[in-house]
Amino acid sequence: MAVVWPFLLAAGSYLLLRWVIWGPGGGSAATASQHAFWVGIMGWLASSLQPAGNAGILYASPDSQPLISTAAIVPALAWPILGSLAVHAIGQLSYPGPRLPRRQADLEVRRVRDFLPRPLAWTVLAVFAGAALQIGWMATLPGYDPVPYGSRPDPAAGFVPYGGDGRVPGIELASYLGPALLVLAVGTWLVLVLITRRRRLEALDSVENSLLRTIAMNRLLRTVATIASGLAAIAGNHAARPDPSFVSSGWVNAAGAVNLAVLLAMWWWAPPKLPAVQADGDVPGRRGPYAASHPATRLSVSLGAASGLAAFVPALAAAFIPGALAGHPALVVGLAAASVLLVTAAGELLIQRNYGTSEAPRGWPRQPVSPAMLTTGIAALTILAAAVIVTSSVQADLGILPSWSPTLWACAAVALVAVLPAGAAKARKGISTAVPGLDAALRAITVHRVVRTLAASFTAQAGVLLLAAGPEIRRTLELEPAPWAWAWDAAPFTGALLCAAGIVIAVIPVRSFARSTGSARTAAKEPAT
Amino acid sequence: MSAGITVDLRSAIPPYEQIRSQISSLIALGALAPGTRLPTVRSLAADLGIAAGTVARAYKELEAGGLVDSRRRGGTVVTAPAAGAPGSGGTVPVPAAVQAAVDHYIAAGRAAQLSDEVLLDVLRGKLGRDASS
Repeated sequence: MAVVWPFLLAAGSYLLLRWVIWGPGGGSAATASQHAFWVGIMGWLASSLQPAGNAGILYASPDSQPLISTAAIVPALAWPILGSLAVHAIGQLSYPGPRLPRRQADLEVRRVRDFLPRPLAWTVLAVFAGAALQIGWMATLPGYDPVPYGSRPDPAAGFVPYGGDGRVPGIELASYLGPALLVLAVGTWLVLVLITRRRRLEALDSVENSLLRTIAMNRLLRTVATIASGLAAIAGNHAARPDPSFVSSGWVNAAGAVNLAVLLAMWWWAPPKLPAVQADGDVPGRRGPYAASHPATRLSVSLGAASGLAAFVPALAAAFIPGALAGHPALVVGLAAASVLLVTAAGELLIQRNYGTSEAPRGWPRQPVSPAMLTTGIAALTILAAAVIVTSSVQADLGILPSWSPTLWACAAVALVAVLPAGAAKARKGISTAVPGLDAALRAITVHRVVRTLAASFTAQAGVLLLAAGPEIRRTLELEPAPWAWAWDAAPFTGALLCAAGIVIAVIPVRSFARSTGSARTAAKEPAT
Repeated sequence: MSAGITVDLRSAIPPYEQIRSQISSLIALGALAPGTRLPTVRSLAADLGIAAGTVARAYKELEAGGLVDSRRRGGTVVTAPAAGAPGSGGTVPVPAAVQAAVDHYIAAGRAAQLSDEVLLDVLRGKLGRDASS
C-alpha cells in the first residue's frame, strides 16, 4: 500500500487539475488562472514538514517515540518534498493540448530565465543557501544522550531542576537533511524546466502564455522556499538543543523564527495576474458598477475575510484555555465551523440592520446553491456517514470504546448552528437598491457559504475520525486479525486526505462555484475567500 | 518579438508543408535572421498538437533546402538565405519593394473583407497564369 498511495494521490491530483482546466468554461484565461491557483494550493498543502519537526531529537520521556530511524525520517521528509514537486509537475502535465483545427505556435526557444521572476528567484536561492549553511553547521555538532527530568539539591537555590531531551550527532541528521535539500533543489530546477517547456495553451496568446509560466514559477518557488527554510528549521531545532547533562535556562530555535518569516514573506509574494483575468475581475466596470460599489456588497465581501479569521477561533480557545481542546479534534473542527457560520449569520443581521427596509421587496435566488456545491455537500455528508458507520461497526466488533460519538455530536451541533445564517438569509428584509437581483445575489452568497462550511466541516470530521480511530483499531487488529484488516492500514492516509479536502472545500471562492449558475441574480460575486 | 506559425488541420495542404513554407517565408522576409535557433521538434510538435514526425519532416526539408542547419548540440539554426531556383526549396532575400507590395495587397484584401484563403487563391492563380503564359 505504501507504494500504491503515491500513485493514487498523483492520479487524484491529475484528475482534479484536469477537471479544473477542462471543466465547464474550460480553456479560458480564467480557468488557466484557477488551475494555477489550485496547483499552488495543493502544492502548499503537501509541503508541510511538521511530522519531521523533531527529527533527530532523543526524548527524555520514554513514552515518546523519537524520529531517528531511516524508516521514520525518510518518509517524513520525502512526502512533502516529492509531493509538492509532484503536484507542480502534474499541474504542468495536466494542461490540455490544442483542440481547434487551426493551431498556432511561436518559433522561439524557451529558456527558464525568460520567465523566471528574478527577485523571487534570488530570494529563494538565498533561502536555499541559508538552509545549506544551517545544515552544514549542524553536521559539526555532537550528539547528547537524553537525561530524565528530575531535581537535585543545591546549597544556593534549594533544588535545581535538571534533565532534558538529547539529540543524535549532527552528521547523522545532516545525512538526511542534506540530500533532502539537494533533491528539493534539483527537483525545483527540473520542474522549472518543465514549466518552461510545457505546451502552449491555445486559449491564451503568446504574452499570456509567458505570464502563466511566470505565475507557475512564482507558485513553485514560494512553496520550495518554505520547504527549504523548514529543513533549516529542523536543523536549527537540533542545533539549539542544549546538553541536558548541564543545567540550562532554555533554548531558542532562531532558524524556526526565520522559517516563520520566510513563510510570511512567501505568503505575501503574490504572483502576477493574467491580463484577461484582471480585466474580468474588475466587476464594477463590466458587470455593473452599482452592484459592486453598494455598501451591502462590500460588507458581504468583507465577511469572507472575517470568516477566514473565525476559523482560527479554536487556536485562540486553546491559547486562552489550555487543555480545553486537547485530545478533542472533533471539537476543534466543530468550533471552527460554528465560528464561521456565526460570522456569516452576523453578516446577514448587519446587512438587515444597516441596509434592510420593509418597503424593499425580498428577492430569493432561483438557484440558491450551485449544482456543483450542492453535489459537494451531499458527497461530504455521504463520506461522513460512511466513516461513522464503518468506524462504529468495527469498534463494536472489536470491543473498542466508541470514538465516533463526539464526531456525530459536533456535526449535529454545527448543522444546528447553520440554521442561523440560513434562516437569517431567508428571513431578512430586502435591500433598498436600484440594482436588479442584488438582494437575491447576497442571499445566495450566504447560502453558498453555509453549504460550503458544512461540506468542509463534514469532510474534515470524517478525516479526523479516521485519523483518531485508526491507530487503536489497527493495534487491536494486530491481536485479532481479520480479512479486512488491510483496509485500516490506509486509514491514516485517507484521513489526512479528507482533512486536506475539507480545507480545500473551505477556501473555494464563491465565484468559482457560482459561475455555473450564470444568472443575472448572482451579479455580485465575492472576489476570493 | 518572436515569429509565429499557424497550421490549419482542415487545409488540403499537408501540415509539414504548411510548417515548411511558413518558416521558409519568415526566413525570406527576414523575420527569422541567420543564426536564430528554432524550437526543438518535440516542443514545436507539442505546441501545435501534431506528431513529432510531421515537424521533423518539415525541418528535414528546410535543411535539404539549405535554410536551416540541424546540429547535434546546438539544435536547429537558421542559416543565411541562399539563392535558389523557384521550387527548389531554397529562397532569396525578399526586396523591400516586394515586401511593401505584399503588405499593400494584404491591406487591400482586408479592406475588401476577403479571407486569407481567398487572398492566397488569388495569388496562386495569378502566379500560375504568369508561369503558364
